[in-house]
Amino acid sequence: MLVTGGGSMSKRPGWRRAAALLCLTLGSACAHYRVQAPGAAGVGATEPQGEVLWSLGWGLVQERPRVDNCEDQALAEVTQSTNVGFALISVLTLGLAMPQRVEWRCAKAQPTPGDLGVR
Amino acid sequence: MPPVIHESSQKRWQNWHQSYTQKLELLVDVWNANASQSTVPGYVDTTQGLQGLIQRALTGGLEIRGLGGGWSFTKAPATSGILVNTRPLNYLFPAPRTHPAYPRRREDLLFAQCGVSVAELNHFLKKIGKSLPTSGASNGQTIAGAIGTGTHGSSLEFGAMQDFVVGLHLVVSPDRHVWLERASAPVIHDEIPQNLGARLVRDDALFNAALVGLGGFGLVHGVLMEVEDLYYLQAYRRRMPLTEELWRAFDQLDFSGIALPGPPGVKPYHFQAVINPNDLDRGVYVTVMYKHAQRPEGSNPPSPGSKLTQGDSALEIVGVLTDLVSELTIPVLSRLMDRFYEEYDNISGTHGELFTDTTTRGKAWGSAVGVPLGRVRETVELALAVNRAFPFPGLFGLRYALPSRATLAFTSHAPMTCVLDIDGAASTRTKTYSRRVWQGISQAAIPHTFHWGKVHELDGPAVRGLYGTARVDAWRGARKALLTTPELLAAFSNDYLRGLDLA
Repeated sequence: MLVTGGGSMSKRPGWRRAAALLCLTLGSACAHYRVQAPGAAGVGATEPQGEVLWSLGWGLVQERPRVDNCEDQALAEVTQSTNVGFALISVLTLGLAMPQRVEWRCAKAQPTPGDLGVR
Repeated sequence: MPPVIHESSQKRWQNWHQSYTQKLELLVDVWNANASQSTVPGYVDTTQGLQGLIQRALTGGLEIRGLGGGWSFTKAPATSGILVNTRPLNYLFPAPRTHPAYPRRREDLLFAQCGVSVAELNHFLKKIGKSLPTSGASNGQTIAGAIGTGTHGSSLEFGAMQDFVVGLHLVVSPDRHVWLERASAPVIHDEIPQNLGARLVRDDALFNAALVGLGGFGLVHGVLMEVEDLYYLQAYRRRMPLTEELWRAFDQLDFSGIALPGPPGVKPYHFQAVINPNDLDRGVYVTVMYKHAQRPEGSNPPSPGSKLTQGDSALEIVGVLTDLVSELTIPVLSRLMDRFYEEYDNISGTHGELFTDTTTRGKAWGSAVGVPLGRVRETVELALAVNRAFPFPGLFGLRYALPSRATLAFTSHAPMTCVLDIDGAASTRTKTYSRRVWQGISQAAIPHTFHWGKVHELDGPAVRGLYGTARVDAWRGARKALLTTPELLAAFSNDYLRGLDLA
């Protein structure tokens, strides 16, 4: 079975892609907030995958991330990041447009132990 | 059913400690088709899936590499080609049937798929009344990644993690995979590799070389390990003055002159020190742990939710602190140490309960030099002298391991290796400081080795100089014996191996 993950912004309108790129370029300094499941559950199965999400119209329109890589497993960790560029956009638009970057790692499956056979 | 192979759109990959970013052609996550139940058919199907990825690499003229936790500071797991994330592969098969000559119980064996993390192993083993003999201070590494770079703890009665491994299942080509174990100590019943479709190879030299394989021996799909009955560690941490007696303990593991915390007259199972070179007058932190079959009466369980835990060493401290503050200066480090790295008494837990860190990240930078007992004081005094001339905001850790049989294990010194960790915030100053210490160790002709997964600046001649031509040739020869064509050797190479002249 082969599942191909889409690019995080491949279907976004051009202006938003450009704005996000500008923000990432401007925003070398980021603030992160990470929520991680405690203990073994916090050891993720995947590398971080993320998207830049936009809240538009003071929250009237809020994008949701497309989590398509977790194979029916839960999330082990979610990180939300902002930076100078994102903050500038939020301030300059008086909160009309508020970008955030969200990244996640999928949790591992918890398989029952098996028997190698040959009893 | 074939495994689920999820292709990421990422063209860059960053290691866990964020010390470098690698451009790559393709990153794939591999999931067992039935992720909820460990089965032999599922395992066999995943083997075939991994072989398909090797074929794809060969067809495209790409390198391929298995990725574990990505905790290495070095580029050991990095590739410009296909990076195979093995972390979702976490089947477990306890108590496989054994070879007639195997002297221990089959219940002492556990076969784990490559992506099982140390945290998962601890969790599962506790449920069945078993325990790992040792592990690193952190537990987010996968079993294959941990052994592949020689991850170690600080048990005075055991070596590094690869030293409890007694069998390896390696996927080495699109049409060949092998079950590898020592001819001198056969472990698995012959029919099990047959059931997996693997060719059984019993060869001490090949096995010892592949143990610390640096990702260059194919894709490690499964690891057979020897585990112990569940035990408890009774732990203490004290800040102690750096007296002559404590120096002797560090240098020779001679505890006769000092009063270690804990039961008097008992040799610790675990012994480690953390030294803040800029705050020596207030003493150094000594952590000791004693092994018990049952939880000692009157002891306290570890407190949940602490930022730093009982088993944490210098790197975990720096990782946590650099997560808290972006600029780690010498005064800030000392203050934060006082706040978070506390003394404690009589705390007990299983191995997995005391070595719990899964979250260390931060902008940490870590290196580790292995030296033999008897040269420890000289090495640490040298590092302290360099710090007096060129202070750096970081910590030393001292940890110990018995010699390993793995061909390129860095914990190879007899009678025991002391590992001097130099861990600090990732900065030019820390790097310059460490480089000066390494030069000093070399100029003082102290026999030494470097942790493969922590920062070092070795090249081919240096590797041959430190490990000896015979060991390097044996390792390279074993690699050629398992990867039988120039194309396979090239596919399982990377810049890291080429830089060490090990490709």
